[in-house]
Amino acid sequence: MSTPPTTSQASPEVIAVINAYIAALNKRDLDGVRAAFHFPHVLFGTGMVTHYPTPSDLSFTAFDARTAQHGWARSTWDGHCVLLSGPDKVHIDVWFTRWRADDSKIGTHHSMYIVTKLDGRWGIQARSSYG
Amino acid sequence: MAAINKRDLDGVRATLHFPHVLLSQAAVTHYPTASDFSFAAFDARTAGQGWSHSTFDSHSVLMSDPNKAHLDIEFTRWRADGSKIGTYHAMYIVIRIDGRWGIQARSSQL
Repeated sequence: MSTPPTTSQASPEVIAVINAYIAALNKRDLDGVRAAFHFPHVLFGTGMVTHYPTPSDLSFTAFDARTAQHGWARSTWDGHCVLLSGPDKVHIDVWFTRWRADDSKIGTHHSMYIVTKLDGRWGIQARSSYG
Repeated sequence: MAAINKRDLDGVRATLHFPHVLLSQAAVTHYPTASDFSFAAFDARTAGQGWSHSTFDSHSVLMSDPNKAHLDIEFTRWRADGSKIGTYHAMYIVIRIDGRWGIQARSSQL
């Protein structure tokens, strides 16, 4: 049974996997992104659901489609709040900012990440965004 | 909830948006279309517990905008004799597409 969190702070293991994802994304390190995820992985965008059954199905295509026209260069992870959690699954409000190469801000957005522990490893199972 | 208690598959489908995704503790189940959706996953989770019906006990909004909400849903599963199987929380993603609100995804610890 899941219960409302007793703390809004995620565990160090969960924070580490989100840090790893953002770092890999900023380096365009596809294998690094895949390593931060659990598969099947699901992205709930605005009006669209993208399902990645296996790591080989994941590419930067969907991300590039969302960011290409904005001149995205990197993202920063600004904060988080645990919304609903259990021993092996955490739902987290993650807010992040997208930046251009000239350090101008594209925008700050919230996403809900579902981070799960499978076979002893924490990974991002799904993301549901507003940006 | 009313449709699932009546085992009304078309009624359940009418409350969902497709693709629909169920993220349980054990698996991610992806239903691309309404015709892919059945009671199989639900029956697998409740088999052996004597499930009879569920009640929707409460909710809170976790994150929202005009067309998308993330909700904490608290519900209880009951047996036919009125005994409780358990009370659980699940996170529902509910979205508005073409003016209709529907459940896009459910994520539980079950």
